[in-house]
Amino acid sequence: MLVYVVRRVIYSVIVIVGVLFTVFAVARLTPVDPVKYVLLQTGRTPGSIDPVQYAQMRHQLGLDKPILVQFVVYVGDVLHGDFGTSIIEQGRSVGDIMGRGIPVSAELALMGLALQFIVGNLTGILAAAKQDSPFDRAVMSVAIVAGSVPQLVWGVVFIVIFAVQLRWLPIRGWDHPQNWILPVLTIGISGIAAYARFGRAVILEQARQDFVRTARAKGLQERGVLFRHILRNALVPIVTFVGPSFAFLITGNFVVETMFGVPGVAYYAINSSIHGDYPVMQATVLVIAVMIMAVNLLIDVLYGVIDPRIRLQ
Amino acid sequence: MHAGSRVATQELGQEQGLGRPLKVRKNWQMALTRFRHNGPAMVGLALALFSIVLAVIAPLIAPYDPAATNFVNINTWPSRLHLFGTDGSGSDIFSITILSLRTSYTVALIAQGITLVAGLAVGMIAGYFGSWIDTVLSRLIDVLFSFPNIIVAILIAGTFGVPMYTRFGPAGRLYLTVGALSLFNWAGFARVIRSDVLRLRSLTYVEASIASGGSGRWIITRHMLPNILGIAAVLTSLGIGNALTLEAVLSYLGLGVTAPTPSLGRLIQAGQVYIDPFWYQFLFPAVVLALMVLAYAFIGDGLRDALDPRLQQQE
Repeated sequence: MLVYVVRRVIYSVIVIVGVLFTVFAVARLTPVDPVKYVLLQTGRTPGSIDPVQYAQMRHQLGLDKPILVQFVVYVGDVLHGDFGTSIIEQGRSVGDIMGRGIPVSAELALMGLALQFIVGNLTGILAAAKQDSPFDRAVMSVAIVAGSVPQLVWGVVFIVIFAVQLRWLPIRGWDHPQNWILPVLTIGISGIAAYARFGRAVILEQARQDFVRTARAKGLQERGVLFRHILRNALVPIVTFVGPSFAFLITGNFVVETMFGVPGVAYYAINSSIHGDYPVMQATVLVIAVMIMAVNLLIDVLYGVIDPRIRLQ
Repeated sequence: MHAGSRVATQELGQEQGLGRPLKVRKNWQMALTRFRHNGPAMVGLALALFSIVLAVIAPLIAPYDPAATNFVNINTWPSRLHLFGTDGSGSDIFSITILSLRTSYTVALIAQGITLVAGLAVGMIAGYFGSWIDTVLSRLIDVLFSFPNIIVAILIAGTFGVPMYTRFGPAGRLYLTVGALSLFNWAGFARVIRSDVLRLRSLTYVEASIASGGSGRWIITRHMLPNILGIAAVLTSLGIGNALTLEAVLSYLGLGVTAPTPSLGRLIQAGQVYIDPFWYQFLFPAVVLALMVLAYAFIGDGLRDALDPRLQQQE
């Protein structure tokens, strides 16, 4: 088990270094010269830039060093939690902005994940238990439509119905618990549908296995068959499914934070991207990438805990 | 019953004896029949074709100039004159909506075309050649697959958005949106193709072809490709719906196409300003997007059901 976990961790570290390098390289690829950018910001015209001052600033920022040295310096800064300062919001450190955004985004994502995991899987189990009943058919038809309609559209529909027409819930904001309902519902609904469909399929697949027939043949009660044999085995693919659905959830975070004015990481990521605030943009992309890797690592480890066969591979 | 079946057998024998070939229905013909009998898939196909036709002829049938402003006529509710109402500057929302379909399809079809070609190529190379090539490509696919397109879009739009706009104008942002949708997107496609090629490789007839000296090119074009086209069609249909969604999402967030390019995402973004009480400006473009995406989801599901070999065995 330890070897398995260590191997997974090493693999994640390699990927994160790759992400760091990509983000770093893209920032260096941009045609915008940061030195010129800063000098122009201080009121100089392109013609009046003093070459000596220009070279001096390049030296100060370390831009005259070889690219690999620059990369090592950059990684060192990031590891010390130093992401630089925001260009647009003068004087605010990127770390400070992240410190405020991460808890908000995590709250939204975790509430959405819990909603879709619990409601989705329960629906899937119920539908599978009553396979081909009218309930099953109705739930699956609704799930296909609900899962195919984009979150962007669900957000619009929920706002129009519950905030504008019925006036039950606020249109925007994140300060009060009643602010949370629509964003969490919007971020969770596609996932509820996806988990319901996937969970049902997995359970029906397991129910066809020989060991289920054996369990029934030896006189085990239906409840025991479901919990001890079918669900236990269905858990592996269901847990694996959290990985791809988490990536989907992140995309949802962007739509929902923008639509409902939730001040999370995604909100800052978009703002910084639109306004060319490179330090903030790089930090947000890194934070999100590390979050995705962490979740995938966690799932891989869980996967090994649930199913001992996987550790051996 | 018994006699009937004997007669049928005799007729069959006679036909064969006469050398007249039995009417053989090929796999794809049976799949087509199954697809035709799938209600949601046919509704989806009709909706998709309708939206494509609308996108093509939009400039001819748009009732108003989308750029025309009419400040006497701002924020009017949907009526016979303005099907989707007018926006905050008096422009006709229906005209902008159908013109937006052109942007949606331009972005989605180019991006999905790139995804299809790159995904097929990488998936087949990884699956067919195996060994270290497969290991390297699979790791790359796994990593790219785990990152949502939206992160790529943020990096790309944030880094190249302004320079591309200064150089190419609004079209520059359109190219960037296509790039954001296709740069990583082929990974998911390649993943499925790779596992399908691996499955096909172990089948007896492919092994037989390899054993009898079939060249790599022969095996790929004659044995692999025809069997992969089905799954590729399913993925492409679902992928178009996905690309339509992402274009709208990116444009809604301000990372996709920019003014004056019409886009459903930009319409939704603009409509949100006037949401209370003019919610129709926010809702109608979103419903159009939902219908298009649903259409491709239904087509994709229908194709999958029609092509699924397990269903063929049951018949």
